[in-house]
Amino acid sequence: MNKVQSILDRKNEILKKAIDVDFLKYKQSEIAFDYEKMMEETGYSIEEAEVIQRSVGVGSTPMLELKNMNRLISQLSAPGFGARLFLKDEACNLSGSFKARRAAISVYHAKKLGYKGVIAATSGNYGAAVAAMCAKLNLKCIIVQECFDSQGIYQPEIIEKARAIEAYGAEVVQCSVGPELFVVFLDLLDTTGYFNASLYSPYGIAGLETLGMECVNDIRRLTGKDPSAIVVTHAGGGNLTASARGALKAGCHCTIIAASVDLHGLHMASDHDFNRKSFTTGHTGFGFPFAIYPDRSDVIYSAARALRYMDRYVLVKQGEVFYITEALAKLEGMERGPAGNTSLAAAFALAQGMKDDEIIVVQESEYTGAGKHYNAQLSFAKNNGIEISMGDPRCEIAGTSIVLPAYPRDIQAQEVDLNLLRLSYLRQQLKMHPNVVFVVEDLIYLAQECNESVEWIQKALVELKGAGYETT
Amino acid sequence: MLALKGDWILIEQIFLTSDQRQSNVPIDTKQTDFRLRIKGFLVDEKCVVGDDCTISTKTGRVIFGKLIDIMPNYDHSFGDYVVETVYIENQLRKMLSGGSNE
Repeated sequence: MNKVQSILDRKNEILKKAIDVDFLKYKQSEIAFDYEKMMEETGYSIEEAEVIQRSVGVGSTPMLELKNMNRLISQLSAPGFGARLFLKDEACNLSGSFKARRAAISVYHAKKLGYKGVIAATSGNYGAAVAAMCAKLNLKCIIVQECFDSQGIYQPEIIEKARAIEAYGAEVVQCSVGPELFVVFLDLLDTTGYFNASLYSPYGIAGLETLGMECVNDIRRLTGKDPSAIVVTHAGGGNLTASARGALKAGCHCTIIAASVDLHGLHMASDHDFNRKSFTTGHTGFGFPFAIYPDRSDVIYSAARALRYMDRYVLVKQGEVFYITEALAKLEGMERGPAGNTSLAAAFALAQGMKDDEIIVVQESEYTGAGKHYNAQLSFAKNNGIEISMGDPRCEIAGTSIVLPAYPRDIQAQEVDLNLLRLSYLRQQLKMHPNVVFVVEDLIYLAQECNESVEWIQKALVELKGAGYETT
Repeated sequence: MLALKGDWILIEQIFLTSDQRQSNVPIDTKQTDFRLRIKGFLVDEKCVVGDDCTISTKTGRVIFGKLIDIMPNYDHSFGDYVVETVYIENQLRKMLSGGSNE
């Protein structure tokens, strides 16, 4: 048996030891598990999460109205339209992003359970967040990153994240391109006995619910009303899931809009494509697969289940995010992003279609710096032969060109048909469980997963399985 | 280039050779080895770049690999001047001062 298979065969055993959640306790059938019970029993309450976060310098970030950008939105909108745009400046968290909220709870939990160290698999800001929390709580820390291609060329943004992780005293294991990173991660968990600070654990998601709640409470305090929409940069689904759950816990039923950078055409596991994208997260390469199949993660049942909470899903182009990143710096004096500005680009476009007495919230920003800065990314793209031009962003082809919008009115949010995503979700379930006979509990579960009715699920299953197929 | 015991160095391991890679990776990726790069302090008395050595990492793991850099630093930057973005500021300022929205 080869090395990969022998580690993968022990996946469940390794993960169970490394996260101390008996996921299978929540299993209801071959298809279904009790998501809410898992969150309730294994996560932290929002009040507990707040207390832990306050103790380590996380949360209570500023909510800022982007007044100059709002003047621009107003100019571009039809009379009576142009919602007010607010930005939650999550870059002000310790370690510079909203990921600190997740890390604060996961690392606190690891410490409470007596683990000596923590491991996380992430090429994103979460690595620095976990490393910073481990520094505070005196735990050892290893971050596993996908970082360089077969030519040894590093993605500049990921180099910066590695630098930050090392600055907080953690160890970085850098991988070349490929899904086998997961095997390295499992091997490290197994040989060190450290805690799995998964992005997808109930702890991480519980930690992030405070962000959704703060967004609602901030807007109520500043404007006396609820936001109409919260726009969330969507990748693995945790940001969206937790922000929506937090808003709901604040009693707010606003529209939850997911936004991703459109990287269609690039393969996320391709060595050739790895350095041809300018965004390392917040893109469709994660956003689609994790919406369709959330349990592709590093836990048995992911707590990040975006399709349950998504009211709309929109895509923006790389060039549009870069333009809005420059606009945020020049108009609002805020150098942030770029990946965190994905939702800002979408919100800028969406605000123009909303009434002028409505409020739209962008619920995160992230720190920028060498490597992460959009100028670094554009420069890197040019050096890799990507053509940079000004024009219609709809003409951008990921991996070939980046088209900066000729005018701000050219920034658009392209709608994704959620029904197609729901069908893909069901197709994935049928692929994994080809011989399953659905019982009522399964249909209820699938309806919750897809944020649809049981009737819709029944009809869709018949459509997918062919006429004559009985669902109960 | 010679590293001495205790020097901060970067090593590389081939975790999987190309023929050991998982079947579900794209063809271009499958043609390459899956490599790891890890930093640590040299445990051996000395080692030259390209030779195998043992390091002790920040978490105290003792691991083996090929020395590829001695006292590695960070030189990532804000990139070269990107002339294609210059118009954005001018355009936005003009719009906000009451000029055309084009």
